[in-house]
Amino acid sequence: MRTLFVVGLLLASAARAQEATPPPPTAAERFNALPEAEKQALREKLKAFKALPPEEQERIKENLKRFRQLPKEDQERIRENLKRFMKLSPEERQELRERHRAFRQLPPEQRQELRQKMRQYFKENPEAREKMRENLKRWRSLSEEQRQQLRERARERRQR
Amino acid sequence: MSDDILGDLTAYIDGELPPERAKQVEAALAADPKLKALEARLRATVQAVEALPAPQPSAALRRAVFSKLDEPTWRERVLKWLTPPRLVPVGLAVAAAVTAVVLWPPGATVTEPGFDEDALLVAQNLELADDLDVVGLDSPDDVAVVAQLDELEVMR
Repeated sequence: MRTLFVVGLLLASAARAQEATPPPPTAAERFNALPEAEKQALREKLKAFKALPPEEQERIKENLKRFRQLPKEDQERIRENLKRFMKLSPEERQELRERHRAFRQLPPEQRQELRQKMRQYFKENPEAREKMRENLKRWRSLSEEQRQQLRERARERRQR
Repeated sequence: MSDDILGDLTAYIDGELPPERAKQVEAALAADPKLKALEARLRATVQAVEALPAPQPSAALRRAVFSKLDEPTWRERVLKWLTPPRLVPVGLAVAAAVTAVVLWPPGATVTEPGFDEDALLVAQNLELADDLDVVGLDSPDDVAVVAQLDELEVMR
């Protein structure tokens, strides 16, 4: 891998480009400045990345760009969600992935409305955030019949 | 000269291959004089470069080069530079450099959230992590139902 970076640097050195004002550090400079352990960790990531199918590499690259363009607030929310997700058991993670696939089958407008409604709820009820997540976890474990029953009860409650 | 062996040649030179794979590469080198010559040239090039003072292309040059790695014309330029193509594992080098740029874009620092240990993990799971709080819901009306789940469950 060291050779690859040497080769990369050679390529960079060989291609003469125009001068400009002092830029921020380049990827290569920042790589070189890393402690060896971090360099090794990055090399491992590059290897893992390169082992992925091209379309998966493309998806990851696009996601990374999209993530970096998100507002900080959304980035934090996503990181927090990811931490919670990674704490789950492999079985729970698998189940969530399957449910997410089903979620993505919903019409885009419906998904967007759901997201907005949930974010609005969290915004208006920050203290109930954890409770909501617990409820959601329980909701996922219910059968469709049980859910329907609860929806009807909610409707009855509203009508009273 | 198999692509398989060629792909591992730089890792072999760097001593990064597992012992068994290294033995396979050694066997291939012993059996193929052309491959052996290529290995010698590559090794000599790397050693020569490492013996030199660190190359000091201007910061502007490096930035310009790395920022252009994603552009289609870059590949053409790289390929033009490399003759014969087998001399350097272009694909791997470019992939490594592109990936480094993608995972660690200009402007990001080691401590910045844009690049850290889990940047790849975030990107791999972005869709799910983004939707985690709504996965399992089918309708926007369900948000209100789930919010009052405790009360609804005990209702008769």
